Amino acid sequence: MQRNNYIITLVFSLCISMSIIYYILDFRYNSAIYTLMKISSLSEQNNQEINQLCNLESFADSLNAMFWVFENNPLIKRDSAFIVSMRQYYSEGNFKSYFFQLYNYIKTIDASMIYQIEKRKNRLSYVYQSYKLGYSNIKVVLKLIFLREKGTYLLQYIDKIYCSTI
Amino acid sequence: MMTNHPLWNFLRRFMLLLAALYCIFPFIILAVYANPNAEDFSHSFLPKVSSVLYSVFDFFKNKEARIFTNLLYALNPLTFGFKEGYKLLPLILIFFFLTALNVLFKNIFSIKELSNFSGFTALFILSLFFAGMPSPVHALYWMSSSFNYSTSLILWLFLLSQILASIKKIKDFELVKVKSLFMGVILIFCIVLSNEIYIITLTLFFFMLFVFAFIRKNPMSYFFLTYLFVTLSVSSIYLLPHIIMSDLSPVVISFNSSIINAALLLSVKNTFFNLVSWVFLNPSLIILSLIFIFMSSIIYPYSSKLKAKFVFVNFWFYIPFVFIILASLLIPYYMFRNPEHQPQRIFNIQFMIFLVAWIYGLFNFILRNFKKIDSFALNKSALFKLIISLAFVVSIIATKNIKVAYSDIFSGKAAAYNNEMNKRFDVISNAQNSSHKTAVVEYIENRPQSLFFPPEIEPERAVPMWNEAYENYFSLKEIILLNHHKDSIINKR
Repeated sequence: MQRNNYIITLVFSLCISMSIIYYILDFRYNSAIYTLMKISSLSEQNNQEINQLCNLESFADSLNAMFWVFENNPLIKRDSAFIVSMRQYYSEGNFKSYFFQLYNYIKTIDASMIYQIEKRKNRLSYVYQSYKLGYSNIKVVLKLIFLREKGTYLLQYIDKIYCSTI
Repeated sequence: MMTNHPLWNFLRRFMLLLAALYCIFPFIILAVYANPNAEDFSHSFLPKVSSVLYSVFDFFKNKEARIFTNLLYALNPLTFGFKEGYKLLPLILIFFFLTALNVLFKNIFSIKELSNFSGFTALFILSLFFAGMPSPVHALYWMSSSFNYSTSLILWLFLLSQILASIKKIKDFELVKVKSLFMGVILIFCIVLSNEIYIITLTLFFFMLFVFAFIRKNPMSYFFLTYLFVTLSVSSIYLLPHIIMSDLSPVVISFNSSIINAALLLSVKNTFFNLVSWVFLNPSLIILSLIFIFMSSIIYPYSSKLKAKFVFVNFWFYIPFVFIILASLLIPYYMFRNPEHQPQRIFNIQFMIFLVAWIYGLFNFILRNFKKIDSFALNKSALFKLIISLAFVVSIIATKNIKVAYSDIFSGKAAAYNNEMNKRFDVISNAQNSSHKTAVVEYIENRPQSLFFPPEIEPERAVPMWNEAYENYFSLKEIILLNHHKDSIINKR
């Protein structure tokens, strides 16, 4: 009887740690959020990896179609040089510079990520990211679509951008 | 006859109780003046604007697997904008310290007749801890530190009492219930996940106890082996993010042999010097131990009931065991951080565990060697005991922490600090309502030693992190520190 109790305890503790470990493993090998983190840690010279993780053209297309959210919102700090260069990169078809310019922009406006969640459906993965903009009470929410191919996620396009108060 | 008058006994008890309360009282009063600093705001920002669960699991980004600590940060009063609730935290910690010590000593003294004794011992150990702890601000008044180290210390005390209760059951050939084993498992999870320094300590603790029990073919070896496996399974949670996500961050732990040697050496050296100073330069502990020995006639009638609940064969195993456990607390710190820095908060933990180990050892020493200390301890007059108690009172009142705490209260420094912080919060709330959203705050001149710890707004953004902590938490565009007071302070020195 005594020995049974110890075995039950061990199984109980293993279940708790395995559930946490499962969460970590799932995050590492089966999540689009991890892909996003990896993309933001890459440098512009890393051609091959960027192409593996991000469909630059469709991403740029979808962002360009929704760029008015950034341009027309009075609460977002507007940098005309930034917008002009973005438009220029897009017309040139230089999607890689376009993409990295956006990431640098997010860094310069003090946007800090406050929430992100991932919903998976078949081969698609929907990631919602919320950024708090500097000192304001405004958050920008992005909905990004990922496609799973050969075991890795590929950033496809931005589905939605909208602003709301926290 | 005069030397054994009942009045002396009454006076002695009254005086000892008064001294213990005198040591704890200023720390309760100082809680009224406690205020959050920049690091507390930085910990409260994310859970405030986000969800509790997201902020807990955000550790993947920072690679900090302190899930339990993160949960506490996510649920602290500042998260809900309840600034006054911050002053309640030290009181809650003191309450839990007392409760945990009381439960622990109930299990050490383990019979009904001594249950009053356990409450008093808890009070005295807490007063000794407050009087002698290396840094009160880390232990009580600075949330970012106390939620890491003091809460885990309280959980340690609960775990030790749970282990002692189970050992007693095994020795009496009773069944250890699954419920109490689960309790221990949850405590181990919370302790290990509150700070990584406990991985080595708990592993060594259960491993050594397992070896002792196994050599003596004791059924307790099952118990310790179970907890050893539990500790190892929780510890694996820490390693996993480092192994599988090392490509996200350039900082990877390198197990360099020279670093490990240096960490071992520093840990052993500092633990040794700490122990020497806590044993030999701490007269109040020695005098309290003497009082315990002189009072041992209270314990002796029950000694047949108490048997010897000691895990060890003799002290030659017990003393190095305690030393290794205390030294192991420092190893991870020196391995991964700056070795020149003195980790005051870990010294706090060491000090409390040392005090508990001291009392546990002393109690078992009295039970085992009562015949030898019999002639020495018994038949001492009440007047003699009163004089010894007086010496205890004098020695504990004269300790540095107590003096500093009272001087902070009575010199008005703590109140002035509180006023300055309130003024700062008024300025910030005005700035929040204005359109420019820029707060110009003043330099904090009153910095009471037992309340204030440096993470603070910097004048020239030398460490922009702490300015940003304020800006994020209060949604400000910029926070500026007026610098002109700093020169005057330097001139004063």
